[in-house]
Amino acid sequence: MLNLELLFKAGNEAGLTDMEVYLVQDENFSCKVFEQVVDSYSVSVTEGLSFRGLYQGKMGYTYTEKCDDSSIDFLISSVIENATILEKDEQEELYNGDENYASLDLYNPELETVTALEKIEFLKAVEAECLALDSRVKSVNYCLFSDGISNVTLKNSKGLSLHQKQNFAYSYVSVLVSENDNNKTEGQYIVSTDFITYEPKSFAKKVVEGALAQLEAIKVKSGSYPILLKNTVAGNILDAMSDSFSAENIQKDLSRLKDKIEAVIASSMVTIIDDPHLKGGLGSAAFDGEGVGTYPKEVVSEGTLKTYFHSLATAKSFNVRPTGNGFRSGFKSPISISPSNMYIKPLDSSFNDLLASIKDGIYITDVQGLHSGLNQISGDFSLSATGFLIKDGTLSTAVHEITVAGNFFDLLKKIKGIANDLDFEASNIGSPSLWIESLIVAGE
Amino acid sequence: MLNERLIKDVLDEALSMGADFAEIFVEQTQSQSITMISHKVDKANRGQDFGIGIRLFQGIHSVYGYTNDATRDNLLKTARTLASALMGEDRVAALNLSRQEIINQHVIKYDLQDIPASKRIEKMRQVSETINGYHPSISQSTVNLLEKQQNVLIANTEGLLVEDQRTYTRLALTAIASNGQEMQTGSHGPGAHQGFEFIENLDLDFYATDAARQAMTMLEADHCPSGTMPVIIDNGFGGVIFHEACGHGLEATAVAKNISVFSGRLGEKVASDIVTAIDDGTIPNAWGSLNIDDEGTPAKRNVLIENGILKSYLVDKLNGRRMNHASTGSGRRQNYRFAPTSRMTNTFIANGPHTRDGMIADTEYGLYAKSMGGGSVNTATGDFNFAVNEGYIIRNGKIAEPVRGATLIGNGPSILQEIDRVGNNLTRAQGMCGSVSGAIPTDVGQPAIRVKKMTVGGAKGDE
Repeated sequence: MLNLELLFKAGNEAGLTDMEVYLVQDENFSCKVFEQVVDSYSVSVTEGLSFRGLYQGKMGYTYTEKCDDSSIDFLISSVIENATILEKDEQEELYNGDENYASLDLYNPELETVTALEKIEFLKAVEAECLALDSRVKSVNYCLFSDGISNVTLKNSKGLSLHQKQNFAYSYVSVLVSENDNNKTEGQYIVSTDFITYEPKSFAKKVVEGALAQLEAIKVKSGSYPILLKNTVAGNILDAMSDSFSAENIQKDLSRLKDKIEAVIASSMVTIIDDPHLKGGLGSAAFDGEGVGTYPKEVVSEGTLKTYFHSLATAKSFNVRPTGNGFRSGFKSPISISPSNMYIKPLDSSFNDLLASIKDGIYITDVQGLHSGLNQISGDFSLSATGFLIKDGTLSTAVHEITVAGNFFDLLKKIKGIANDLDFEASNIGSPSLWIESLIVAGE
Repeated sequence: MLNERLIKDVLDEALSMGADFAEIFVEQTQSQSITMISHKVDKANRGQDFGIGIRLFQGIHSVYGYTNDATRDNLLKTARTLASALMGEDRVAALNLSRQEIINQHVIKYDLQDIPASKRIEKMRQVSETINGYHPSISQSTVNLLEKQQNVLIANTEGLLVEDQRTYTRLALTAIASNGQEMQTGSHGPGAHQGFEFIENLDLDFYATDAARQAMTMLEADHCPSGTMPVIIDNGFGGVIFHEACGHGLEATAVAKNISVFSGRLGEKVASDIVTAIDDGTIPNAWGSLNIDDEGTPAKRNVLIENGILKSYLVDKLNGRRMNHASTGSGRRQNYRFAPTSRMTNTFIANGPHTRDGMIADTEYGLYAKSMGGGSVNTATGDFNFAVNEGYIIRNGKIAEPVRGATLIGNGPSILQEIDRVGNNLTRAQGMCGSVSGAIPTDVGQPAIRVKKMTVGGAKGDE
């Protein structure tokens, strides 16, 4: 292990004033089953660290996966060289620390008692159950379980010393169903560190039913349709647009939410929350990547934009309190502003209530191409989609090979109903199902 | 990077409980990334990756483990843990390692350390200034220079021991045009399996000007209409259509398990007669090229489709066992944290009998996709989607008004049959391809092609 005292001392001698080490130690397991055989099996123990430091007032970054004293020279010379070439106006600084940090329970030790064999047995059971449920299930093309433990340590030369241990587990299962040369797939997740929630029968049923329902899908006529967005789809779109709420993007003029604090940006039904303390949330953390203590907040309150997400540097230039959103996506990445657990607040209506209010429309259950068919700055999107026709308030024929197009910022204003079915799927960003006044659909 | 004695001992340990094949992959990578936003260096990062992946096969079972602790004790322990995940009786003996020398096909002039930061920044500033100076409506430019040097050592119980070094350089540039209400972007991302000499020889002004032109054009463009129409996709990054619609479906990862729409179809006609498609990992200094793949097999040129007939899949060692097929030099991975699987290298549609101008003149009404964005495919159904970065409506055989926000969707096997024109202006462009074994550099490419009928999605609605 790298001797931090030695590193900080050597850094000091080389002219670095403040220094910080962000160390990530991971243990991961993942396993896939195909045709009742273990198809892939992977175990790992890894560590890596980021070292950053102030050189002549500028913050240089570097990282290494060789976490021993032999890397000290590389770390210091890299930080100095990278700091020297920076030309931006806003400068980062290291944090002294907060007096108190939330005490979060992010580690479930019981997960460690589950053996690899039990995880494999679960996957075999899900696969067998999927195939037994219906003869149209051609194969279970993805049957995965993965879990792991992550230890994050943040230490700086100003005396800050923080540590967080957490674990995670999830399963992803996808089936391929086929009828009259017509192929459809459906994938579903279970995300939980409580192994009891991994129940093969109900999981298989959910996946297979989702796939079978898509068979005999039709294309629809191109046009404008009232839309019901499934919770997971709405969450995915919010996720793809979440950088618009980052103060760094505002500063760099890469967001349409610039100068919109206290402005109405969404229908008055819409409240968007960022809750880093959410139980079971994939984005839960007591401190961010800079060591700032996290706290829950409303980003949008009843349609009005209340705050951006801030790091220490952006909070300083906006003259506001840091929001604890200066996260790091890993030790290789610099500080990057992002949400913790961000979601649209669910309201009272059930999914069926929303459905009943739509006479003719389309229920969108899946979209593809969010990384390419959505412009993260302008909010324009045109996405490949599948779903169901809505006729007189009930679900009718399956729909495929269509695209839905619109603009995220318009969509926020065109929300006519919000259900009570908040779902994060396998993300730190979630939403309930949303009734949208209309979107453009391309089909025939 | 690891001494031969230790490698041999780890491989022996890996075979101790019934595995019939073991492989060790050692990686040491240095990377350097600089980002400049409108003339100013905004971010700089440098790092070193180091780790070891160990993989075992027993028939078609495979287990994989990785670590970055290269001590003898830890590597033997990792090998033992993996070996015990397989339950077998038979013991196979590992062959003696015999070191193979690589014949380097990709000459590198400069190492990462040879170039001072000032030289990098000078070139980046040139790009940045060209973009920003293009027009008053260009509000910003982002220029990122990414350089990477990956050293790998691959050894296995078949006696293979080989080392290679791969050097990558890529410049990603984006122009943002704004009129106060709207923002649109234009971008390019040229890259190569080459050192900084790639940047020195690159026509920086062309890429910078073209990105700015694209952003400006899209700023003035109306939303794309939606519906079904003929689509002409121009050369270069347009090849992403073949990559998504067909390439992924030809990877043994899906084919071997009979979960690809192309499974079991070798020798069948899968595309129209004028379509020939190739995956070639041997092109000197191309972004997706390799001397050897990540399993140590020499890279190859594989003809995938010839005059419409399916000729070959892309096969790695493990899936080769399922398919009873030799590796095609296609086993790739992002880094030691991923077990390799079959992936593309430089994949393109070959030149055909038509010309771009001719096919435009032959089209009464349709979409001309001059520049493509990214996309994705569901290999089990063949359904794909991708974005058009710069599109125009074709009216009466002529390119008319620009349109933005177009998405093309369709089904791989059916679209291949619908290609009715293949041009003669083949070029390749660079991308990062994401799949089960991580994100890897790949080239896509094609001449201009016309697809008779395709679903175009846009925000304007029916025209």
